[in-house]
Amino acid sequence: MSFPTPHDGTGTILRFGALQYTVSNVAFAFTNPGDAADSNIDVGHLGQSAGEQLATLARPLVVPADDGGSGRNITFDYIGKSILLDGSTGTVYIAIGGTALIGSTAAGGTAFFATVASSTLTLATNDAVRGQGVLTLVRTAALT
Amino acid sequence: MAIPCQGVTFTWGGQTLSEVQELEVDLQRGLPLGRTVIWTASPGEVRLLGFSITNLPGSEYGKRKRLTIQCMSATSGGSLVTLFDADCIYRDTNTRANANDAVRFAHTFTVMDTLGAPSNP
Repeated sequence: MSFPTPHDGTGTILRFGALQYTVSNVAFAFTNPGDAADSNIDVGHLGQSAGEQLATLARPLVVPADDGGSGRNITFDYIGKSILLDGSTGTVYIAIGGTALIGSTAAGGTAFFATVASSTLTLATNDAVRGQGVLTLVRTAALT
Repeated sequence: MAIPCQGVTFTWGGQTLSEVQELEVDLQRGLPLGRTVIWTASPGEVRLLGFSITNLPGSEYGKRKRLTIQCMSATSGGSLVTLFDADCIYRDTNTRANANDAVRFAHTFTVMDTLGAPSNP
């Protein structure tokens, strides 16, 4: 039995820097651990009764959402022989069917800068040259 | 069977110690009596790790007071059960502060007299 997929990823494009990649898979981890509930400090103590809500304290420092330490990253598989240079930084733009998911190309839009955290290129017999990259979002900037 | 350890209260000379997260009780640490060693009485020590700076002011340092640890009994109709009751000397405070975390205080008490309490471990 097959099921329709009204929101599949067909028509997705991914640009990093000046290059557009022929992507076969994109995984976008957008959660910011700095905002997550588990970023609270556990200050539960023995004086609390069983069944009581665990005492927590908000962490005094907040991790910026687009900082490299936020944990926001993009993992993508592509077909091609471009090598992503380790540590290189560029703007990242992902669009589905012409609608931007992240990044912008228009003036006044928000550009997302990402740094290559890791990359692999696989060359195998009887297969296309395939690569994988992991980008970490490091900052945003307004496009002029 | 695991024993839950919540609802525990701490009093030091009648004063409540709050926000204690960890408790370590180490008892009966004295050397054994033998022909070639000198008997060293060392009933043990108690270490509390918690968050409240107001628990023990420096003026309490070196004082000998009664440290009592109690919890609500789950089987005795909710009555208070004494887990530990001894005369102790407040011996040491260790403060630890890490960035983006809560300040934690550790207080160490040297047990001087377990008062013969039957409930003591």
